Amino acid sequence: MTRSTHNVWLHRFVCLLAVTTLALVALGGVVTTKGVGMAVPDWPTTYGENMFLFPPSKWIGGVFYEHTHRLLASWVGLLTIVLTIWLWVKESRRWLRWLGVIALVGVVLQGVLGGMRVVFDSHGLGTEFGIFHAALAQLYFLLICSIAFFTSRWWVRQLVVGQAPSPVSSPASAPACRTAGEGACETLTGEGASPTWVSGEARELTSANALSVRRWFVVTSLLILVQLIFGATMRHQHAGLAVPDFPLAYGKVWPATDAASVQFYNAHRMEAAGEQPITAPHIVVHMLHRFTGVVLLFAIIGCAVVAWKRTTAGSLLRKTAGLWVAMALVQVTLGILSILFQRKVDVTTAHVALGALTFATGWMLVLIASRFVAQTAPVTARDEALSPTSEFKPA
Amino acid sequence: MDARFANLFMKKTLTVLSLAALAASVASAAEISGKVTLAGTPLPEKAITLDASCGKLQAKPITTRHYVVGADKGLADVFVYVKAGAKPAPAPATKGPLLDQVGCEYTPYVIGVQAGQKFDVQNSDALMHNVHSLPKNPPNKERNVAQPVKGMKTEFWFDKQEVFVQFKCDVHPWMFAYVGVVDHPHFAITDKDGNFKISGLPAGEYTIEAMHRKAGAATEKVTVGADDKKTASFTLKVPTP
Repeated sequence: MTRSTHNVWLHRFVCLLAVTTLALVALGGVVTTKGVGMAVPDWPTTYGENMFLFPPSKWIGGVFYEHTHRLLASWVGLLTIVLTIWLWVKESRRWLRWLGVIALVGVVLQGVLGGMRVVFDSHGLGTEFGIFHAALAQLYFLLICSIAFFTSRWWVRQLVVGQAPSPVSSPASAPACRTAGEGACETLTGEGASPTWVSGEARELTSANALSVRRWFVVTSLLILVQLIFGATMRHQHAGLAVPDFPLAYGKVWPATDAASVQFYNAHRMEAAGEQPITAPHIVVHMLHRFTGVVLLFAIIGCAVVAWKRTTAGSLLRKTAGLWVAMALVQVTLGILSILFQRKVDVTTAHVALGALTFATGWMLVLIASRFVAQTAPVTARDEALSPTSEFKPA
Repeated sequence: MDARFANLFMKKTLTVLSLAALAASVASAAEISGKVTLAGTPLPEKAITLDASCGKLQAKPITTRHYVVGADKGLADVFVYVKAGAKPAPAPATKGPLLDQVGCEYTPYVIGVQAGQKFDVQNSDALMHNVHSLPKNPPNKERNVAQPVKGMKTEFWFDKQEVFVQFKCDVHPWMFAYVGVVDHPHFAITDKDGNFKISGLPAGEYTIEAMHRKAGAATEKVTVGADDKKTASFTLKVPTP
């Protein structure tokens, strides 16, 4: 069996899976926004029939969205099985093979959670399972994006194997360096020797800088995860319009949540769908989602500033951080529009999908920064950090 | 008088007395009627965007039905019931009002039943609906039943008092209905002009509550004697900050 670290078609396949997963997350968002999660009241069957044989003539109204969500989820499950086998057979990095297994476990768990959301709805646990299902979807998407990144050419080319040079802080430490693409530099240490590839960007980063940048990305990405959980909680409780005005909330910075005020809010809510009286906790979760969104916007801008200061012009970190800021700005705008347009399905779905992408981008930045931390770390720490890549074999 | 004759005499006497008591109770049945009006102006109702299949069943656009206000500010769909003073009664054998699904809308929007009383939910549309009840008061149970065929009926009931139990259709998420459940038969739903009538009340003192899903509740104490016909009027307000 021939295994390698870089397989172009495997990478393309994982990218396809990532895109399909994002579509699945978005479709799940449509189901929740439309409030049709229970349009198919049984699971794993569909109205008592095999879900794959359920006639399209019955895909009406909310059934269409919920059933399509289930079918697409099955497709993602199938792709994940293929990915796991492919990784196991063709991938030389053991830790990456196990990531494939984790992805498989994750997709199975995610499918079961989706089913439990339906089955336990009549026991009053549908919302709880729904929130868990939505949060795990984000983590699964992140895992698939990570695998896509680990199988990418960029990631493989950043491998530093063989001799352990002094901290690569200047081009002089890589004498035979030849530029191989933007932001990267390959140093071959002689015929037949293990390639020593040192990122040009890494050469500009000190270990302290790389660690500092990564710390910013890690904290901000974790905050995005918290924000996604707030969002999932809010949406599954149908509290997306628990506060219907913007920028103020019922005319205040923080709305009153006493019983009389909540009764007043409910008396004036005119939602056409998902009509359930809102409660004080709904309002609190909604407001936390808003405020965390603002904090995140500034945190992401802060990350970009830090990345700007501590990396070279045109570096991957700097460019990706800039993209991250743009995504955050669009995401905040979509969040505002979803309120002003009263949870219009397309706007809200775009908000859900971009939320997942923003989270994934943050995590990619963490991975990129981690790569540079590994490359710029002192020898002992670096050897430890690089242990996962010690199985490097050129494709 | 032998024991057999005495037994027969007792039975006959009891039967006669029971019938007399029943007749007396029917004869003394009081009635409370009145009107519920709305003070204040609610926000306009929202237009509902129907999907293609439901759009064919409706001749004109439909809206939400949060506040249905009729003549002289009369408020429809208010559940008016005896909140205190009525004795719990066993569920009647007769079925409660039919909750129908017509043109992708629940009709009527609000009904009332007695705890334990059975009632049917019907699909009168030639497309699939699902009937999803969402009670919050155990042991009332949530149920979600598909009705794929026109004319299907499903029997529902709730064992415990609960005002209101929400019904929805997940296939068409704009479809809602509400059921008021109380443990006695003394309740009514206001008509399009806000009028109601609760009849069959024994003499006594009662607290009557008018409960609207959006405008909240108002109560009034009413004392009725046998055969009394009393009136009670309620004004519910669109809450203000």
